[in-house]
Amino acid sequence: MNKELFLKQLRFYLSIYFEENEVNDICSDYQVFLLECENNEIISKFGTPKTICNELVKERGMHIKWNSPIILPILGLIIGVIYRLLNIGYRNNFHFIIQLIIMVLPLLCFKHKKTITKSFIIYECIFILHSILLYSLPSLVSYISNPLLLGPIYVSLSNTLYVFGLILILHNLLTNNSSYDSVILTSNLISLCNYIYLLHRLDSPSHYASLCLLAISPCIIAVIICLIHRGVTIWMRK
Amino acid sequence: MDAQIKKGTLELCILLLLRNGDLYGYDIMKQMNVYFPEVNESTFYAILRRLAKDGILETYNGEVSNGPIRKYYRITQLGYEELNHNLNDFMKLVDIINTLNQ
Repeated sequence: MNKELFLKQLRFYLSIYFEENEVNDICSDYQVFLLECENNEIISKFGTPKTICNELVKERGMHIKWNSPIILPILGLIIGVIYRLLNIGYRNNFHFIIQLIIMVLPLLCFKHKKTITKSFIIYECIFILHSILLYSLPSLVSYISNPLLLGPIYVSLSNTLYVFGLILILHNLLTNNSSYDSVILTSNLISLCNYIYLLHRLDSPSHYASLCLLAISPCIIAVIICLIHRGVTIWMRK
Repeated sequence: MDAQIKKGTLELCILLLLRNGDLYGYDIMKQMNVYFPEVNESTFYAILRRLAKDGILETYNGEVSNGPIRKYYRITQLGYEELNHNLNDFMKLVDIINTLNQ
């Protein structure tokens, strides 16, 4: 294994468990250590990047890999389900307050971390789009077209965008790593198509079971794609 | 050497090594590897990071001509206290084992 590939792999594994500044610190240390040995000695001297990462995780005393990117879509799934379940039935002030808390929470976390990233701006845009789609457009559309068809599509579109935003923001909060953004975006675009298709097929979109299915589908796809992406990335770097 | 016995010993050995003078990270790993060849050098690095995080060691950048900046490790006051404490415990343990082994 050459030094560049070794450092690349090391960064990849570390980014799953460590904050960006720690990853940079460890990688710069290893960059200096690597100068002392040849390409064919790296693994025998230091072990594989995964071993190094495991040693560091072990020493830090973190046994639960709670911030793994694999966990993120599962969190997205839980939030997505809660959010969609809250949307069933009549919307009242209680629903609005709960939704507001769910929406504001990630923003507070960001303020606490004092970091503004590209994802934060994307999230804000999604949030605004979500509000427009969910509350303004359906009522407008109902005057000009068939609300039974277009209304649910707008709602589903806005909900999917919202779940996407939450997944994105949580992902960045937990991992401080933007490498999975594109995967999450792709999975949500796929789920959006799936969502619209399902709404066309279902006789009663407001039915409890079908809404549950719709709630779960984007996040399950996100989990599957993240797993495939992770598998392929590891396989390609071997 | 058994992994369980080794676990607590490595930290003490690193501190003993650094008692003689500040050392660059890779140098510590290399020297420790002489005594513990079966232990991966990354294990020492992980211990070094933890000791630095716990305030037992501190780091500083060393000047090197014609080369990259090296991170050196030195024992802090807390580190010396920790070293003396652990060393006493370890010597007592050695005494017990010696007595039992007679």
